[in-house]
Amino acid sequence: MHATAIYPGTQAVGVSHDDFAGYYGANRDRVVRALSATIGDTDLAADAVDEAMARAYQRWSKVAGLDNPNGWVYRVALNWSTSVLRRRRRRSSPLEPPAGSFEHPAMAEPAVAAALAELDVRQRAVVVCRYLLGWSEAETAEALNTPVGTVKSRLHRANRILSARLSHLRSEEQQ
Amino acid sequence: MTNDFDRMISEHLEDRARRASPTPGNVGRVIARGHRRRRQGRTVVAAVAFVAGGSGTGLVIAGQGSSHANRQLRMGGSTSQGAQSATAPSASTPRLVWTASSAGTPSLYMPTVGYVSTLGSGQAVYAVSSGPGEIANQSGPLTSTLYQSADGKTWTVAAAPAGLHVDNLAVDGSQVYAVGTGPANAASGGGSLGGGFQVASRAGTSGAWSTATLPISLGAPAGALNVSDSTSSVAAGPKGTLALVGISASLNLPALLPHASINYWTASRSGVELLGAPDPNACGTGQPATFGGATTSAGNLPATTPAGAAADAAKMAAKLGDVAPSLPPAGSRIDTLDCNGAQGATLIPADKAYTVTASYSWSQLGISPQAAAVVDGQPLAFWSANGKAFQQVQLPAAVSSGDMHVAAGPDGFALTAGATAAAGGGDLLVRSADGTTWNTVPGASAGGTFDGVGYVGGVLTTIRTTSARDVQAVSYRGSVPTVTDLSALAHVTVPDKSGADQASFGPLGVVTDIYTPGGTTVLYSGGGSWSTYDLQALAGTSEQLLLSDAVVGSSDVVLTATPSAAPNGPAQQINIVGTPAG
Repeated sequence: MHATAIYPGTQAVGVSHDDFAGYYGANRDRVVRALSATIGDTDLAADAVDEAMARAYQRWSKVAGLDNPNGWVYRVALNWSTSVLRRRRRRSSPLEPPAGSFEHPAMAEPAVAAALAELDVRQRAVVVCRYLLGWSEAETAEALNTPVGTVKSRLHRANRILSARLSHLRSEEQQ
Repeated sequence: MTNDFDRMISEHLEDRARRASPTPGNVGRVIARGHRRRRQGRTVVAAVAFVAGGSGTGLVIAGQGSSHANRQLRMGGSTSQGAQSATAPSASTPRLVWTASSAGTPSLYMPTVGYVSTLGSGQAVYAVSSGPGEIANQSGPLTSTLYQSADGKTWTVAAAPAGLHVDNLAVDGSQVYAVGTGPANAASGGGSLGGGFQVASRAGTSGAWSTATLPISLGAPAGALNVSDSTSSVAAGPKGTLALVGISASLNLPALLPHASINYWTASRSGVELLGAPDPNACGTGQPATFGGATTSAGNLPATTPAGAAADAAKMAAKLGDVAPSLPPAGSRIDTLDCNGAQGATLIPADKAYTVTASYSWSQLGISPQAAAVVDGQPLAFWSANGKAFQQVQLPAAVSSGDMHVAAGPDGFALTAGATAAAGGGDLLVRSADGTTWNTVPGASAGGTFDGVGYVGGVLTTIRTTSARDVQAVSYRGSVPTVTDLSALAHVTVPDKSGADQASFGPLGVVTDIYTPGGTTVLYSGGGSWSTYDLQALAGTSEQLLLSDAVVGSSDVVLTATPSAAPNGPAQQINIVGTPAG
């Protein structure tokens, strides 16, 4: 209610449509794109972020006061979307993300997409937080509500897979 | 991993993120969904979702006698769908026998705003929701419709107070109360608030409504106040009736001070301060404050991206090719800024980050005390001994109008709400023995937030999510509150801790739920101890479910669940009714 403009990372007091609408308009697509990069399904990412945004609105005076509201929304959307993916998998869908979703033909390096597709969604979430969103391990832990040690171990495993699958690219770089 | 390797992964992800073309967002739809969630646990009573028949006026909540498959589930037993986990209930928490009914029609996401249960021996139950056949996903406004039921399952439209857009309901004995905005009239002076706020009441199930208008007058010069939103709540008990009104309003200061050169400004309970040059040492030597990731060191224009937690948004924006962080445009209101340190950001008031060039009291600006309170984010509170003549009462200065929950009980009233920025944010619990004198309960939120407040077996009880995202129930019997760790009862561990979704209070006790990617746990207490239920097991389905609504009535507990995979509907709605055994 107070703030004339809501910027991520600032304190907000009260609840108003205008405050939340401003935040939603400025951040919704950002988080959708980040989550899409995590789960490989843009439509599901959009649904999940809208669900998370509704939950954020439900407790807006609290979420807006967080250091990183986008981290909160990302985590809730990630949890929600992974539950959907798990349900799809029980219905015999082949993989967590839709087949081919990580293999965009215009991608600069299909091997990178394939390597990322090998990661499980929790590992990929850590990779996205670190490499796409630029969050530190501590910040990633806070956003994902996960101990720092878990973030480190997931990142370590993810990097090990990526490194193994993309070793040929490293060789090319070094030549 | 080399830096080049890191960069390759990073660039690939950025490329993928940029290529994603999300379907357009609809903030109105999201707000409608969030509004429904937000109001579910707002007052002493819970909400109810309906399976509407379309254009008819009759609403059926549990589909009894229909062709839907019903499943009987018993506590401590097993079913063909598998056993449900449960803690041992005590004598004070009745054992519930559950019946699940899969409704045949698509679920409707209705912004139900209130529910009242049990009027003496009449067993009448009231609810407020959108009109029959209306759905929250439609465009255009929804109507506010009052429903009545004899058993909590079959509902009919009831006569509502004339012209009142009902926000909330309460009951005390045989008396029913409704609060909301009245029809617009020339004398109301409420601008977009229509005819102001009214409390209507009637005795029994069919008497005539009598209406009292709350004494609200938002006095301000023309064009100075922009009202954007409002909400109201009511609670009634042995100590009288309490009505709370939260109004979102902003002040158009340039319109009030057309000749003043306004950089930024800030407001408090006493008035308005104009802010001039930023203090380059506001956070210590050589450390200016930041706002939204932008520093104040270079005046109005963004300078450098700061380090620390406040830089998260800037990093995200930069990575995804969005705009750089910037300060608000000149003329904006700023109340708090960040000081970034090794331990994260701390808030400081705006008049510590900028020099104050001028100050104006509210009376100097022609702003009435009530309008000033609204601009400062305060709720307006009104108390009545008889439910007909209301007087304004003062809440503690730290109470803001965000996320209010109010309850009435044998020992008075309790209110949970957000705290103002000046008070450090967070949530507050305030209590009153008589409705007129209020005191803050220190440390009641444990650094977290409240999900609901109500009376269970006559004992004030709060449901809170702590700063560690643990869900706890706190009972205020005697001088030392009793804390129950509901996250532990639900076996929720660190990776999945995210707090409670809602809390619903009623005559049979309290229901809350904790959502995790692995499922939703429903927790119920009739007083003293708690029982836990797996929502999927109650519904007899392997599908992941979300708890949409919970109603705690006088004779049963009604849960409404929807599959998590179809949040925008239409989705199959499952109604689950729990009845005390015996």
